[in-house]
Amino acid sequence: MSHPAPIIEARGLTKRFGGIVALQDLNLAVAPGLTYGLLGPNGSGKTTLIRILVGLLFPTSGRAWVLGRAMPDRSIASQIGYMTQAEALYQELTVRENLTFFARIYGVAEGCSRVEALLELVDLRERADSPVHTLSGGMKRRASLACALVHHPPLLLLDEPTVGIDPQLRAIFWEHFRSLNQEGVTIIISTHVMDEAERCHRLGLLLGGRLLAEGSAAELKARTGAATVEEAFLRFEGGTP
Amino acid sequence: MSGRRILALAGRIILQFRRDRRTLALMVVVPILVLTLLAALFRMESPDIKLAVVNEDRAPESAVLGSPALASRIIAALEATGDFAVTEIRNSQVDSYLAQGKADAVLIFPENYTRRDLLGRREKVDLILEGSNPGDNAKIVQKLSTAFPHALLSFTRPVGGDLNLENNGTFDLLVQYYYGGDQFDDLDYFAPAFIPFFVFFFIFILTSVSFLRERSQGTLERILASPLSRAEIFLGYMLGFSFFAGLQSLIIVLFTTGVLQIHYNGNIGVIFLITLLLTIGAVNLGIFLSTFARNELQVVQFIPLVTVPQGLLSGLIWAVKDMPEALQLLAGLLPMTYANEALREVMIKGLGLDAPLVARDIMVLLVFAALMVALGVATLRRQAS
Repeated sequence: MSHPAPIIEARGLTKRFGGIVALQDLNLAVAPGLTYGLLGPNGSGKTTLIRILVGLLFPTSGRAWVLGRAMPDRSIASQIGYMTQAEALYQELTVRENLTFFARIYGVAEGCSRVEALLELVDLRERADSPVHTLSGGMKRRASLACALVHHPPLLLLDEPTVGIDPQLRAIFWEHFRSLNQEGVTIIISTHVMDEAERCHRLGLLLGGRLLAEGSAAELKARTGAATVEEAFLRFEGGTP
Repeated sequence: MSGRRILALAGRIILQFRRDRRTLALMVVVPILVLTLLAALFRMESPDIKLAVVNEDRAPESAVLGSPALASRIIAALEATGDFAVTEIRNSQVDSYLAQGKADAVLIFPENYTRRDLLGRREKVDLILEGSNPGDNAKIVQKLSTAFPHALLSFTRPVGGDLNLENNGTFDLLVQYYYGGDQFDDLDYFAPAFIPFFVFFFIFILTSVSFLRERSQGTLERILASPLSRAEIFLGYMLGFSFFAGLQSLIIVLFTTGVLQIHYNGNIGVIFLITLLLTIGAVNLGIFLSTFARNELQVVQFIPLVTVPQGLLSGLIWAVKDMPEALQLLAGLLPMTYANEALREVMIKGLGLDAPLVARDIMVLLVFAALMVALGVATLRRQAS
């Protein structure tokens, strides 16, 4: 198996907030074109890691490289699509206006047609002109994903994109992720939903700011002799393997 | 730095406010309501002072003057000023008049008032004040002490045979105004300071709450992760909020000058410029301070912190030059002090940008606005670390 240059690399990444250690000496390499899942309970450091990779946080020590650049680096901001845990949409504006705004600040050349294509993709064409605050939770999630995709980013950082949405919508999201992977887009996704982990090409198990283990779901299960990723996680956590 | 991105940001803010009809309406209605109330209060006629008079003065009939008792004539003169509603009572009624609120003050003329006066000695007149409101006390004493000498002067008896009492001993003043004029009232003096106060107040609330909301709903995080630089974000916000700040100051200026008929001698363009500079400072102060608030309640608590000292110290009500030195120093740090001074120079004295004081004040406001922009950009940068 060939090893293309990693699209994301972290070495000795440590982040402390006051006395609290959010990330501890974390090393990571993600190959392009994959969906990489960051799996871990709340407070394990998933969001901190993603925010460092987006360029919103400086690590206390260690380094992170994204698309070959040491972060934070504004020059690659237009190549990253970022979806936060919150919907992060302007509630008073319509879905179309939100998308148009993000298209404009990312300088998307084919602004209008891109917005229309995205509305189609996330199936919000009918509600395109409704103010966001009138939408259901699932619709807001879809609109939020569309905003993260507006500038054709080759790298997507999604912080718990499927939290609190129904299984049907979750399936639709995963279909999108698959087709994005096929277009060569790398997706980093954080989750604490174990059955989602199975769908990622590779997984990083995070606990207490450390990377416990890394590998495909099958590898992780094989290494621990577990039947499920959840079981594998618990065994790694207990220090069994 | 991309102008297109800045405009995209400013355009979005304007669009958001256009959607938020209620906020938009409040921005217009609230200052108009408050200014109308203030105008009504400043222009109200103060009610007559209820003055009870006990007149025990028994004047001797004088063949030469043929005048009635001096006390009666003073009482008549006081009534003629129009400031007093005079009731004559007996000495035994004094307590009940004061206790029942039928009199704000009682004047008691002693028995030998005229007689002593004719002998060249002036007897003291007793004044009993109702006394529960120090403000009223001062007003009554002040009105009486201006009316009294005037009343007395007009009765100064001639040494010779001139019996024309009215014009004797008084002096005439021909009053002219260097600035302002006799049509200027309290509101004309206070309005130039209320304009910046309200503009500052409303714009500060508007920006600090909007910016806080941007943070709490997560959109700021998304913007910070975009190619927008900190300076672009700041300029975009400033432009967007300043659009409404400018609109609001225009409405306030036009309302006070047009509808409330506040007299102004200066150029309305200069008035608007001063207000706009102050609002740019307010926009940025709002953004800056909102980063220290975790929720909207905390932002609300910043409002008195920012506006009350400025309201008290900027010369809005008490002149800065009359303040103790320490407070004057403090006042010198507040942007509104300069806005008030400049607006009074322009609106009352009719001065323009060529007046050194106005030019200096505008420079100070410019520096304040620039300082706030720098502070805001610095806090945005800090947020990303």
